[in-house]
Amino acid sequence: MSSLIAIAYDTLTLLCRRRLFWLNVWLSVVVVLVVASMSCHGTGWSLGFGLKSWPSGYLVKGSSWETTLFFGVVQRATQWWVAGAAPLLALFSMASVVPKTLNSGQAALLFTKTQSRAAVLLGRFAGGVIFAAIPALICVTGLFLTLGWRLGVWEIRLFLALPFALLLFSALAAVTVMLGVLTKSSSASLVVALIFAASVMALQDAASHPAGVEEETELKGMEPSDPRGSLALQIVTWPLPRTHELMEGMSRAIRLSGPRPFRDLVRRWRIGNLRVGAAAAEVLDATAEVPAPPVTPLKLSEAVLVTTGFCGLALIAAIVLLNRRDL
Amino acid sequence: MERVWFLTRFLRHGMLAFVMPEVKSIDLAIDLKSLTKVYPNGVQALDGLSMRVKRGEIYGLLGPNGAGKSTLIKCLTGLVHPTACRGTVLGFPVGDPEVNSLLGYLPENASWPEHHTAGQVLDFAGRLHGLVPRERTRRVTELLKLSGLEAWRNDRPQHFSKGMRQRLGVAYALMGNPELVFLDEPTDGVDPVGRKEIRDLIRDLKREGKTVFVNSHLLGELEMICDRMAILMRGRVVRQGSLEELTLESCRYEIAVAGNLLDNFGLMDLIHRLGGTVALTPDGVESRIELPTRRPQLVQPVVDALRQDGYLLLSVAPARQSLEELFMEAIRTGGQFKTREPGD
Repeated sequence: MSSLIAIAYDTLTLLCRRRLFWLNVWLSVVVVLVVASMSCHGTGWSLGFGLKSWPSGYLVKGSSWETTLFFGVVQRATQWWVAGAAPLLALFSMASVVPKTLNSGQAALLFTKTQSRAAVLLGRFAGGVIFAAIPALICVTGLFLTLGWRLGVWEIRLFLALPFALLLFSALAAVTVMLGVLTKSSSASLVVALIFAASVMALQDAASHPAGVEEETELKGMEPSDPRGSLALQIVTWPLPRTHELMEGMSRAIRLSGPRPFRDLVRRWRIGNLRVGAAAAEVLDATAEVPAPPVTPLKLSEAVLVTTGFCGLALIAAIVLLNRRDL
Repeated sequence: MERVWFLTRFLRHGMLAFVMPEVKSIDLAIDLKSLTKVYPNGVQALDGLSMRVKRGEIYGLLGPNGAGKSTLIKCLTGLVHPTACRGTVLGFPVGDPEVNSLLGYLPENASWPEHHTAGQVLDFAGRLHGLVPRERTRRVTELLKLSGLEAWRNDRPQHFSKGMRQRLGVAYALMGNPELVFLDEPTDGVDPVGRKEIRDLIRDLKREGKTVFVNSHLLGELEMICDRMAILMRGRVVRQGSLEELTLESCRYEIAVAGNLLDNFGLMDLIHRLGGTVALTPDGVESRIELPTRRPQLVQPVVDALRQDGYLLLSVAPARQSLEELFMEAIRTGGQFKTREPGD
């Protein structure tokens, strides 16, 4: 256990010395600063701590639109940055850790000092997950303080985004670790892991929207899709990480729904006489997919269990591969 | 907690001793009866290798490139899985990861982590061994002093010379106070002063009762420090023993005589009958006789004949092969040594 903790700590210090880590941290701070720099006043709203101001008849200090604005922006910052881009940047840093560890010069130093190869791999993985948590924690804490400062709402549930984001990251990191053991190449493991993530999202999207697929094929005058194919797709995607459901579950867990829909606020957005928001909303409506069925607590628990199980299986596979390998 | 650990270890190794008699060989640090390694690409690195290393001795491993030296050390340290193996390391079956806490290893091409200073590298090794912080700090200071790197404690090994990196490697290997230390080319790239320090360090380890297994191309170094050694050729140990034992068969007497003996047919006939040879120095003023024997009685007839014929004897001395000569002969003959004492 002591060697596992030592390796996890070592991994963390190794990753924290990389430039990409500081880029991730600074971008997290920038995201928080952008959100924090928004404010509403008596005649409109401003960005950049008052540097640029826009007059508005409805988006003013104390209005329900102000809450809608902050809740909507914080929710999207959490989804896109905390659970999206920040872990992806962390993955770019982490991808090289396992292949470098298996490099003969380092492997000889490390594996002869530990009693278990699994401890080395799990230590590397744990260090990577903690590493990914740092920028996410900075961003969530910043957003939490921003909401408290701007609206007086101290929404502690915002921190529930962290376990969801880290679970999603863990699944991808476990695949990267396994591929790192298999290929001993940083770039190969990263590229294949990203292709895997994209494929999982696409497959699960297709599996969760069978009605949408049929609607589209009918529009083109084609035969409706075979229900057996849809069933097969669901069976294939069942053991894979549930990205869509976890993201949906995260949104529900942090419960940042304003008094009005954020979409309506976007729709009202104008630049001069141009109704930019409305145009954007129409484009979004036209390209929108059929909404997936809502995520029930049971479905969410299943998603958490399946994703955790997938992560565990990927790590076990990596350990088995490593134990069979000559270093 | 310690009791549980002791009990599980006792049960495990007690059982192993029951089913595997070789586990009982506690006076041997390494006891290999048959070690074979065939890599997936079909290369046979080790071919039923047998070897015995006693506890507390300095053991040298010699062999040309590709003989299987590194593969052997990697098998013994658990980095490479043997294809077939009967044998133990410190009483544990080869490949048992539990033995790692008792081993120290300096690899030939150690690649130091970029994010650690010399002090942090050793501290990390201490963490891996589960040492408590106070003990770790004490040991790091002690080993930095021992390796002469105290002044570079806060510098990164990437900026070190090859010799400094080797010394750091030795310190790293010694971090957990190991019973058996594997040193792969420990003096490679080290200056003469550093080499002597490493040799002294190895001797100190022996004095502390540790077993040191050294793999080196520098035969002179091995000759100076090793109690016993083995010559590895094509994955097999072709010779094993102390330097005395290894060079015993090469024992001979060398007689230096003033003048040219080649014209003295009677004397030449006697020397040839004893299996000896005569060579004239390039300037032609001195002859050198080599008699393949370690028994002085067999030299007497030649000495008597030389005196009788009025030759001036310059020297009569016993001689034996150097380790380098032995090694070169092994390479030349592919490990097939010939007996060199027809007179004995």
